[in-house]
Amino acid sequence: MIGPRTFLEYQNYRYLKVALAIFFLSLAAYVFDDPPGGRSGSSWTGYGLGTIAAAIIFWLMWLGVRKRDYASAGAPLKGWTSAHVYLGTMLIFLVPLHSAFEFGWNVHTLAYVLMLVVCFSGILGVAFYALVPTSITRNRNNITLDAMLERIAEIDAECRMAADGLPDYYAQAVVTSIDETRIGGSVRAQLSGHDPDCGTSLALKSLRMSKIDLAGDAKEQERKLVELIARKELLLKQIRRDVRFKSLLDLWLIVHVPFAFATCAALLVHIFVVFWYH
Amino acid sequence: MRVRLTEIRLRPTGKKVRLDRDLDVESLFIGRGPDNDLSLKGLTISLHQATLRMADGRLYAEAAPGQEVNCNGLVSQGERLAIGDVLKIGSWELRVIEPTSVGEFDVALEYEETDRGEDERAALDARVRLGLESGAFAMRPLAWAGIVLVLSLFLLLPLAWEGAQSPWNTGDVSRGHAYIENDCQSCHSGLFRPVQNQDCMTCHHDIGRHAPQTMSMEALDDASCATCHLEHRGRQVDLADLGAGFCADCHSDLASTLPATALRNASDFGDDHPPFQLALVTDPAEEAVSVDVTPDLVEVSGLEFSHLRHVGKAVSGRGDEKQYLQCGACHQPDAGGLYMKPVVFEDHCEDCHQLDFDATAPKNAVPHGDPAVIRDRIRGFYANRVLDGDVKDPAAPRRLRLRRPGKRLTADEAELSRKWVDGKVAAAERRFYERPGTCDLCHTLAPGAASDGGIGIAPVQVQEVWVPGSIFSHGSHAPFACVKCHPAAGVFDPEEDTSLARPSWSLEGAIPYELIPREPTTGVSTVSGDILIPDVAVCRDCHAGATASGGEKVPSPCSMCHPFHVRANGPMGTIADAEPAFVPPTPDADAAEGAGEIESGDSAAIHRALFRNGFGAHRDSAGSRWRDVRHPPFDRLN
Repeated sequence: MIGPRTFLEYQNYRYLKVALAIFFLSLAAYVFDDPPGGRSGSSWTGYGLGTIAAAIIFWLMWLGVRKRDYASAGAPLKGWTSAHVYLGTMLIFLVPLHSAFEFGWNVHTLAYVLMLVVCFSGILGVAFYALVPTSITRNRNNITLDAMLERIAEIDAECRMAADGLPDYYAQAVVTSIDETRIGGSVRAQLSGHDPDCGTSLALKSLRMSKIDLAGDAKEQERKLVELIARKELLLKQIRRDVRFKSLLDLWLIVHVPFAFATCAALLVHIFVVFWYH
Repeated sequence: MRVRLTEIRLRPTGKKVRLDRDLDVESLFIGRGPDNDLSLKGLTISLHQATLRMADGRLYAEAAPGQEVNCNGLVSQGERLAIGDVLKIGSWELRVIEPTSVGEFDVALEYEETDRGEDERAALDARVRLGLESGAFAMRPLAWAGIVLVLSLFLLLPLAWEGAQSPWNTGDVSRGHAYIENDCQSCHSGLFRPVQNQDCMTCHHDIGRHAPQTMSMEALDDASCATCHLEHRGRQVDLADLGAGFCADCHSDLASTLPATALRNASDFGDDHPPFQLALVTDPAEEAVSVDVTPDLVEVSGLEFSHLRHVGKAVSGRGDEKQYLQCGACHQPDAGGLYMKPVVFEDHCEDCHQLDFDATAPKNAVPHGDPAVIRDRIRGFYANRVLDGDVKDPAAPRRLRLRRPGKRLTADEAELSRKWVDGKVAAAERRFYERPGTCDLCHTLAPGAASDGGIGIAPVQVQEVWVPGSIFSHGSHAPFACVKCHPAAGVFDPEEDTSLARPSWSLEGAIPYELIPREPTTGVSTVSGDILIPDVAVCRDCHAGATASGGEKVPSPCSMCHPFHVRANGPMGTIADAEPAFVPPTPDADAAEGAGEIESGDSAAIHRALFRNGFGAHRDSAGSRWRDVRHPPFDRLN
């Protein structure tokens, strides 16, 4: 994984400076240009800024190809990512200069709106990459997800043994705790980080509410069972937090990439229409 | 009952072994608990699940209290069992089979764990689902969906069906073009090329040049319409409003941008605008000349008129009601509200100044016009009196006074009549042409100017459009009193010299008028030569430059008064050498010549050309005493 600090600070913020330079030059062109009919996307300055913006967009798309090309001998991926973030963010401000702040209910503004979704999901992605990995590490506490799941399986087996000689009420609780506990699932379930219908929580609740008076060995078994299920519940909370953090790292990209392609489609329609009806 | 229980156990090698166990019990208890006759492992099995019992030689399965038995897939509280029946208990199957040695056992049962369940980790993994992408909710299908959706809705559908092209529209077109908004081809005639000038000129075919054809202005002559007039910027956007700096680009320093012109620099109405140049009549027989406004400027229209003696005077209105003469009584705006209609004797003067000629017949008046025609009318009037036997003049010869109508005139009578009529005509004409006389009140007399060589009237030319280089709308200024801009034509408060009640000053259709207190510095117009056109300072009372912030004054771009396209200069893109494809929309041939005659640099001539060809020309034409006033050009609105 690319550390956020490293790619944002790449080469002493080289691409932040490049992005700012492009933006301020464009701003100057916009401010000092005074075409006869007023500023617009179809003045020479407008065409120029639009060409720059479109070129940047298509270049940004190329990151998807570049990041899969592990054998590339060109600039390091860190540099690409740095430029991707800064130039992409700059587009939010460059495109309105191109259109001279004219927007409407049309495919031209649609291209900009789609691009905004891409830009802001990207910014969200950068923010997630800056914050979430630390949370993941802290939450895992040096245990892998697989190890946590293995531990759950062990607890399940222990529960089965512990419940073996206990009344049906306990057996039922253990069955619920095993069969009704799900991890992950729908996008919402993964993002929420908890499951209101978690079988383990239900089982723990019912065990604690048990009114059956057990004696001797059975009582010892019961105590052991409750302890096992309680431990399982804690472990599940930890696992679900982990799932939530990882889904955050994935979610923005599921928005970012499809909208980027939709933006390109809208951009092509925009360019086609503008030059068709010149 | 004697029972043989056979457990079928699966060895790790995969081989099945049968383990028999014989019991002799009253009832066979089945459950998870170790105290049962048949103890089965599995948390879903109750400690005591069911009991098998013999009765009348038949085998019955009964569920323990609160439990159920599943026999052959059917769930119930109890069931009679036969050979071949299968009980499902937890993950176990319990089958009733034929006892191998009849008589030795009452019942034979075999059981095995069929549903051995995976290990706990595999079971858990089956309940774990990680990763957000699943099915169609994954980056690749979503990306394809986005591409297909955008392309089909916004490219393919509009290409196939024009009705879906509205998302292509970058913005509403201006109001004037709204009626062709859905007909893209009416302007965008060729695909993948800009809107061409001829696309615009299909409708705007007579759009005029900015400067006379003698002045080559490459930047303008080669420009496309769309360079300046940007469409699709909203209904309310004025395509002609090109911002404050547009005109000033050239007009702030004409000496360097266009040395050929004698026009003076102007860049901002508030700060940098030359004095108005008037089209002034200095000889009523000649064209008006373009002059700067100076205090001693005098118009020579051929008329005598005093605003002081007219405005605010009490007159008898229609219905004998006393009224005050106010501006609107003579000055009415034209239908477009821009300029004032000409003052016409019959409409505006005759009510008070009747051209009667005989005190005994005050209702008989001659028409306003040629003295020869007037003389004929007077002669006819008196001749009729003789012929009708209606001569009542005490000074007439007795024979004429006593003459009866219908009788043929004798030679003597004819001679008497001629003398008497000649005398009366001479008397009437004296009344008209003597000084002071009826005509002399307003006109300069010109002996020999009448069509029959008699006393005539000197030529008259009244200016209606004084500043032809601009467009002024009286209608736009209707909320203000006339005297705000033309104070010298204003009046004293009539209360000072009349005892009449204060009148209502606003007549229907009249320019609103109000009395102003006359100050010592206010001029008073007593002669028709007075120039009552306000100068630039008066306009600046309300109008500031285009960049003014408002609040106190009207920000006024050049285009508020000055049209860019002037039809009189020929069509856009043509210069003097070019074939004169342009024919001005006027029958007046002089107008077409006008453009070519201009010496570049002769600003007076330029104004005169504008004046004659574009901005309400005043041309004497045969049969019309009042000059033809044409509508100012629409160019500014185009």
